[in-house]
Parts: sequence; C-alpha cells; structure tokens
Amino acid sequence: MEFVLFIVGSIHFGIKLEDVIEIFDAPQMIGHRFLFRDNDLDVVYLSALFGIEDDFGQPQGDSISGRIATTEKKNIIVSRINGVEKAVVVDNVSEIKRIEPSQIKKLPELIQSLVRAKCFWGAVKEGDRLRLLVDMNGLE
Amino acid sequence: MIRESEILDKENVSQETLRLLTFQLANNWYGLKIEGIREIIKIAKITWVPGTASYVVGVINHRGMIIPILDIRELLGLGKSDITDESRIIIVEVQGVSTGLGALVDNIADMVVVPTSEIVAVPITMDKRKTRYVIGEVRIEEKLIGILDIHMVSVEESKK
Repeated sequence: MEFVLFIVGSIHFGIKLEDVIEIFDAPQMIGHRFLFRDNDLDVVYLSALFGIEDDFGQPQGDSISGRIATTEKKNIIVSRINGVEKAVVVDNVSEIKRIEPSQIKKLPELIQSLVRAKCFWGAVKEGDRLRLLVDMNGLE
Repeated sequence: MIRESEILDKENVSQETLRLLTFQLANNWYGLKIEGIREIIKIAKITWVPGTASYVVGVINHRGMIIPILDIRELLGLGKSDITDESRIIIVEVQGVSTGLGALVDNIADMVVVPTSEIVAVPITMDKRKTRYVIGEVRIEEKLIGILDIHMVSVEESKK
C-alpha cells in the first residue's frame, strides 16, 4: 500500500495515495478556497483541525480570516473527503512510500475512543517515532 | 506495613494484604496493585495524537504494540506532568485494552505490602476527579497513599 507522507507541526502523518488526487506547492497566501480544475474547493487546515500549534504556541491557520501567510514550505493535497473534493493544507509532503500492511499497527480502541477526530486508524514505526495514518473520510 | 524484602517471609503474606507499587504525583503518594502491572519503563519517545483528551500524553511503540500513555497527574486534576529523568511509565493491564495502558508518573518509590484492614475509604470531600480513580487510602508511616484504579479510565470511556 502506498502512502503520501507529510508533517504538520512536528507530527508525522501518512494518507493512502489512493485517496489523493493531486499535490501542489501551496501559494504564499492561502484562503478559504482553492481553484482546482475550474472548481473552487473548500480548504481544510489540518493544523487547525488537529489543534497543532506553531513555534510560537499559536494554532496554525487563522480561523477568523481563514488565511495564513508563511515562508515555510506548505503543500496542498487535493483529496476526496466523503465524496467531496477538498484542498487539505499540510506543512510538508516529504515522499510517497510503500508501507507493507505488516508494518502498520492499529491504534488501541481506547485511544480511538479518546480522540475527538475519528480519523486515525493506525501507526507505523519509523526509528524511534511513530507516524500516524489518517483516514481522510474520518476528517470532520 | 511490610516492605517488599519481607515478602520473602511467607508468613507475613496472607489473603488480607495488598501489594502496592508506590510512586509520586505532584508530591502526593499513590499506589497501584502489583498484580495489574506488566512493566515499568523509562520515558520513551511519545507520539502525541491530535484531538485526544488533555490527560492522554500520546502513544508509544513498545515491544511491537501501540500503547496509550496517560498523564495520571492530569487525570487526577493535579496539573500536567513535567517529564524528568525520574519520570517513569508503568504499563498496566486494563480490561478491554489488549495492549495495556501506560501510566506516566513522577517517580517510582517502593513496593509495599499493606493489610487490607488498614485501607480506608477516600473522604467524601475529595475532588470528584480523584474519587473516580482512587479506590481507597492507606497510611504508611508519614505517607498517605491513595490506591489507584486506572482501569476505570477504560470503563468511563466505554460509557461515552
């Protein structure tokens, strides 16, 4: 199974390549909408959705204006979420990698019950850290 | 009180005793029943899982299993833990969680055996967050030790 690997803040994530339509370098200013193949897509900021703070202790993304300006490398992953194409903003897509099913550990049910966002379905060990696997259809 | 070294003297151990691993949380003493403890480990790389409750520190990969780590201080309303060289994770077996749970504590103190007759109920004035997980108290010398049952975490969550 192939995965698109990326980070948000300092946390490493992966999503199935089959859930990804296209990946772009993000423009310096990102708004509520992203034009893709003549369609205006809703923009989803994973950092804001997950409550991941930036280096200054602030949630990334501005929930009021819905715009962020950054000099950091960001990517937009166009994905179909529950049947609707959306533009998902992440910090940095690093690579597309094959991960064998045997390498994937399911998250304990307790953790799944404790997580507000029901989108984490597994984790992969990478050195001394874990990469969380995200089910795009679980994003709320 | 009987220290662990005295456990070897079988005459001191009866069905009316409870073996506890004691540790500190924000300068308060607590204990967990030895029977439910699988392992004690140093702090490993903990991966925070977004969207979890404030008392969930994250998950670790230990012996090929993904184990949730709970901040017991935060769970009991004692404030967030500061991770130091003395901090430890106690991996406990919990009903309904096959991997077990990791309890982050400030340090590990001692193993003690206490007569169950010396265990008293927690005061009704105690903070509700504590009474949910503290099933009793026992005084050992100058220390008042709260006996924890973190199995209640999974029970509480399964009700939601």
